[in-house]
Amino acid sequence: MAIASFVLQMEPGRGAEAAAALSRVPGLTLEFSGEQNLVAVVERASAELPQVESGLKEVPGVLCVITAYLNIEDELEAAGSC
Amino acid sequence: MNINRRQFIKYSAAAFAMLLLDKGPALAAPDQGVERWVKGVCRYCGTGCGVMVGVRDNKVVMVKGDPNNHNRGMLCLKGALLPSVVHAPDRLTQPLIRKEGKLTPASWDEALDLTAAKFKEAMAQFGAQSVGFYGSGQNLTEESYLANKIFKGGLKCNNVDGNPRLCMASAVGGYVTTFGKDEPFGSYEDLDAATCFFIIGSNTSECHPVLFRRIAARKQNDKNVRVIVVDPRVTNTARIADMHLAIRPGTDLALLNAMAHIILNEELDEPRFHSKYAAFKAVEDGKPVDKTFEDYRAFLAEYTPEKAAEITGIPAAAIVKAAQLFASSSATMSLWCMGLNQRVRGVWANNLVHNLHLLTGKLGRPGSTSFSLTGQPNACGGVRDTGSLAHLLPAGRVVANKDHRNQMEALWGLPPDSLHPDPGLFATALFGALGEKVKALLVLCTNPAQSLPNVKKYTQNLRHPGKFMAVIEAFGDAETLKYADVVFPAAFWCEREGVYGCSERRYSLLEKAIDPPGQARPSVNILVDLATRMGVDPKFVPFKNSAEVWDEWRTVSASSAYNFKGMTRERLRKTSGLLWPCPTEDHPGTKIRYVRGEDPNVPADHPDKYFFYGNPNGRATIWLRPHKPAAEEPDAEYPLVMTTGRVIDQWHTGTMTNKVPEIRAAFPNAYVEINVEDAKRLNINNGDSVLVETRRGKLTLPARVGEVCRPGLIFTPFFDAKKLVNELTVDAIDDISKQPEFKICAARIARA
Ligand code: SF4
Repeated sequence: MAIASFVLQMEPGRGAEAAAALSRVPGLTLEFSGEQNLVAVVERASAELPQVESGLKEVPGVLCVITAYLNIEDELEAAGSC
Repeated sequence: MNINRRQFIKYSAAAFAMLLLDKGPALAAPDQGVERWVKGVCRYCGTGCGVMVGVRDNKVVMVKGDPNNHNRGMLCLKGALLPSVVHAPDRLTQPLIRKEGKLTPASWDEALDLTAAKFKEAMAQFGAQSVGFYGSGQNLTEESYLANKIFKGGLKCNNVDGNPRLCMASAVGGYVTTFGKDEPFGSYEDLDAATCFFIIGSNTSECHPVLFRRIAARKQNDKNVRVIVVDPRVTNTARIADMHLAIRPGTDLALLNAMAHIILNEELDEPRFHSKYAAFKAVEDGKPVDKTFEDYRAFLAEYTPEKAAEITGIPAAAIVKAAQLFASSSATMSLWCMGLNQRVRGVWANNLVHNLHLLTGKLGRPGSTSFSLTGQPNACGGVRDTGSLAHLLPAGRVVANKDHRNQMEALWGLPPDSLHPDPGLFATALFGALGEKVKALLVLCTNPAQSLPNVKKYTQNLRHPGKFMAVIEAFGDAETLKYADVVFPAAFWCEREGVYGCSERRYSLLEKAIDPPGQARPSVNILVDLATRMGVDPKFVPFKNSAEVWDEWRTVSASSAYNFKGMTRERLRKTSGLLWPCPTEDHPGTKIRYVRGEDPNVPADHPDKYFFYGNPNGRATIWLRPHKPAAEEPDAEYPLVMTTGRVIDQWHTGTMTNKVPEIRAAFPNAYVEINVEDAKRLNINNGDSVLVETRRGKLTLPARVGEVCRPGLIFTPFFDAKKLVNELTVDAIDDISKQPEFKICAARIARA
């Protein structure tokens, strides 16, 4: 399992609506919910992360999604690459 | 606090993201398992994000953003997923020589000697112009500088070109013809101050994601900020726009001239600025001639909003509104990329964007700038600045100028008038001559067999029995290796040290983090070894490592407007990048050029605030450039326009991103994007196999039907080596920049 954090920039005033939609994304924890920015930590197989990222972009009110942090050490270890 | 390792990592992930929002808490501690963090730069796009490379047991185990670089710790997923590229199973680890049609393991001596012998043989028989070098905007600055010096100075051959010819040459032409010098006026800090963004021909959201975040942040934090996006597709970039102008492809010149027309007509221009700092010019009978402001006004008279609406397909009222927003904002920043550059009138399109800034005086103040985005991590620092294109010499000099040649001869310790006086062959001409006029070619870290336009035409040359091609490369699956006679395994990214220069004139040091695999070597060492075996005097290339090359290049730059003598290796090691000019070791670097008090090239006592020192008259040029259509317009036989580009997950020809299992799984194949109206008419449904045909070739691709493309337009990404989209593109070139028109060709589609 990989762990990634994403910063989501929101249209003003739509944070609550987005937070509700995000609560339904498996493996996602909302760590910070501000007026204009949300921070989500996602714990998922890294193969699924690009789709997760695309999905986040589709959440109503989201202007922009950027990866802030990604850790795939466990997967590298499991694959014997480390 | 008693937490396990995964909880700790989750905590770090959240803390890091919060840190980027200035919400603290500060990043608690280095991540468990990482032995050391090494500073570097992302390997992908021209944004040039600073990274911290996490190393354990000589392996890259993690990559995170450098909080001290311009990206403030942000990365997109591509950058964060770099570890699996470094440790890809198909890394090249030993030299290869083609024997009986197969690339076969060989020793370094065998491969170097064979290559040197082939080059010497060609030069002895056909002269110095029968060899060539083709580089890349992904090489380190030291590698590009060195290869350029070896070929132009050591072998007296100007056939030195590279893939920036395919992506940035028109931006170079635009800056040089308007301002007298290449490279942008401002810096990324302008993104934080602009109140109007004019984004034309750039899908910033997918191609420069971290910069896009900064634009979105501006819009989010200031409700007065306006974003205008000009793009025939409703890209993610267009989704945040206040105005999306879905332009008919290839009609940007008419739009830009109409905007200038409206600005003058409504007296939204800034006469105090353009009357003092601009000169007007047009080309007549092939020569530039001086014009007046009144000539310019008369030239623009025909570009009424109504006429531009007919040509561009954008409603006249929207063109008027865009011009008004551009001119009346407190600070307008234009951003563009391949949509303007990859055109037969790419230089003109660049000029016309600069025109709007010169007319309105929106230059040289925070947030007011005309900023070209670069596609590759080191196209600017590596290729443009070192002059590693066929018509250039280092630091803005040109081959055709005798004074410039004499300056480089003096700097390189060569006899006067010894450099070859004629520009060499540019990218498509170089490959078009391969096997014929050009007998031996060295390719460094690029994949022309996939990235050249109309590529089948050039594949014939790559197969030519009379050619010899050696390739320095890190990965065994690059399409170009199919045609290589010798392959040298190269150290990749953080396996060697060197400098990258991104879109904003920032040079950052990429430090060595790990050793290269097997026998792979840094390209600097490969180039020096090859040069001396080809007969170049060892005293001309006395470099043991890239730091020594950097020291020479830094000294060479001191006699030019690029001057970065103050960027010592030590200084670069301590900082997260500096912007040139930076003439002394205590100079902080330059965020705004051509402005007194900002740019060290403008004397402190200069009587005027702005000084365009690259032009003999000290003024920037407003060009009279008429609208001209694309090289290949749609017609009855091929009624659609095909355009190509990037998608966020993949990068360029996919040789790196396809090594990342996560990306491969998420985005394995190319596709063709079709507007719903066209799809309905042609009975094509989402996911259907579609035959895409142009005059040069055909491909079958799965359909993506939607509203992204405007009607009459199809889009295909070019990353997929299984589907060589460039077999379909056109290789018509811009007269000035010699950059091909990848962005527009006529096509037809049908269900396969
Ligand atoms: S935006 Fe570009 S430079 Fe930054 S992490 Fe992504 S690919 Fe790398």
